[in-house]
Amino acid sequence: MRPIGLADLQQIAPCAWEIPRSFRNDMRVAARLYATREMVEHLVQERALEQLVNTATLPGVQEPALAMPDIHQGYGFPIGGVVATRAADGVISPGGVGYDINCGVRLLASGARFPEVRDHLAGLATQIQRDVPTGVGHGGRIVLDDRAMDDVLNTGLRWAIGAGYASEADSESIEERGCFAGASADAVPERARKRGRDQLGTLGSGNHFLEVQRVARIHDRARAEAFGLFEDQVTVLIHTGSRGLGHQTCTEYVRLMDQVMAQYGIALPDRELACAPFVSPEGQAYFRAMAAAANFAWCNRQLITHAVRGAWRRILGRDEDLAVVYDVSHNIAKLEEHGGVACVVHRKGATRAFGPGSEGIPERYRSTGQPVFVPGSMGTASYVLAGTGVAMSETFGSTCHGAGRLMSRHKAKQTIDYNRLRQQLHDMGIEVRAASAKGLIEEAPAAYKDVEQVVDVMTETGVTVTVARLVPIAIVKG
Amino acid sequence: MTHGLQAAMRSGPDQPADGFEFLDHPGDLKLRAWGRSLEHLFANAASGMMTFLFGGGVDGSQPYRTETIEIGAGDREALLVDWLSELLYRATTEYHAYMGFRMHELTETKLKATVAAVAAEAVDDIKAVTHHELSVRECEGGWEATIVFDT
Repeated sequence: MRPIGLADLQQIAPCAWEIPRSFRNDMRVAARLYATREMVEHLVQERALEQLVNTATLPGVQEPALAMPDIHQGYGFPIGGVVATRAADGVISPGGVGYDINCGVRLLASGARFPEVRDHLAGLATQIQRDVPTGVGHGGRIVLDDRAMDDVLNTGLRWAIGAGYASEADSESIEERGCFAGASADAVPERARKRGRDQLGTLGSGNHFLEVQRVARIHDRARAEAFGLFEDQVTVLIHTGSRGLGHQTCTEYVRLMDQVMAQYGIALPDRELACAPFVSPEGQAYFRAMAAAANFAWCNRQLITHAVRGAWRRILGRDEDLAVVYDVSHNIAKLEEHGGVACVVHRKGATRAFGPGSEGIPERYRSTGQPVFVPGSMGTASYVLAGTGVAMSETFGSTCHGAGRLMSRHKAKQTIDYNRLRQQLHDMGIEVRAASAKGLIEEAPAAYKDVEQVVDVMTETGVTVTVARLVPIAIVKG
Repeated sequence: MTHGLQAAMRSGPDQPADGFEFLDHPGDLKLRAWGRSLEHLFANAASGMMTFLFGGGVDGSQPYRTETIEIGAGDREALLVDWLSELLYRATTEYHAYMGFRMHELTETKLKATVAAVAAEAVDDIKAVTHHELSVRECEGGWEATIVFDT
């Protein structure tokens, strides 16, 4: 396969580029990338664009195969990709969702302003670290028996409400109300259940984190008000997914798809794109299992929410429940209608960004578009965005999900000094509670693209509106 | 044959007949392993994965249990992924490491091995073994493979 050069990309708008279908014989549709010229110049040096082109070869793929400005090289699908396939005769691919099924971000809003919290920050960070298990190799405080596991997988937030970890109001503020239609515990492999049985309510390691933040700037007052956000407010951002349960579910279904793909006459440029027709028994089984793993992830973020609420009350002595602003998934496949066609929208490192008037978003956000959260790298700002009509017509209702990795974990370990990094974060006034030095170094800001540039591209294209800028005041990570 | 976690981690003209190394991959982990035979290659890839997960903490540990692993797959590449996935699953659910990879049978599609479980604290996490850029090939002096992990 010939490498992709700058000349192969046609600029169709200031921040939009297209690789035409004629670029490679096996492409079924064009590939589109949202990025600045500078980003494109960097991207042509790595393999992420080739991976984007590969996704344009999937059976039933809808025009165009998309990449957001935080695109970076993944395995099979690029991270930052959106691929919609026709439900009727297209495929579903576990690799298009990724191993961390329903990895996502939840934002909690308090009623407090920063000056009210400042003196309690160290205590709060320590209490959260104590109450939320983080890092590798440790189970959580809850071990689910078979029946509870079935309930979590089949009903998601309904289980959490019944068990006293969530309220109806929480459920209203989560994609799919935290209970994915079609989820089936029976489709989840036994080994996935075993790998996840003691992981509910745990943050994990890698790029997962929990951040206490301050609203540093409101960009769109009306939408911020609708989202319950105000200047100098203290918020909490939770970033984690379905833990080992999701990883094992994906592993087993990639294996299954790899075995059956040939029977369906599907040949692909990368084995990790393994897929099956959505309507096939294998495609349906995966969709039901993925939905169940998504329920597990929503319950995971809910249990962490419950622990953070407890820590907040205990340390600040405030009688308030931190409110869930919204909970967005950035590794998932959803059945949605776009342009009158029922599609399976694979978002891998991309976030749903439904615009005003869309079905499937909470009533109170129907006039503003849904909230989207884009975490920056550790120590840098995060953004609250809102979906628009442009997203609905141009990007299958999708936008970016984060800063996008620039430097490998390996290189970060070689080049970043732990003590200096810790000092830098301290000088910025950020309380850091990290389970390991390595975990901190690998997620250093220098290892990532600038999140502001990523968000600016999506604003420039009109896909999302920037609502608020949040800066970290405490970080808890694995 | 047996193999622990002491495999050499260097490459080049003077590279030993057996070993593994971690290659640069943006975002994820890429492992290259090699060996004088296919059996050695599979053992060295497993050692590489365990080194990433448990660091050097396993060296010198006393195994407390031997386990048997039997798997089948469609081809050699899928067999390597399934072998590593099996070890990853066992290590992450039982919270221990493996060493002493002893291959009793290894064909293109079938593997039978015994492995020794040792107490160890994980220092890193792997979500999954992927099929991306996966290759198992014969080379001068033996076999080599590259595997990308989602971390």
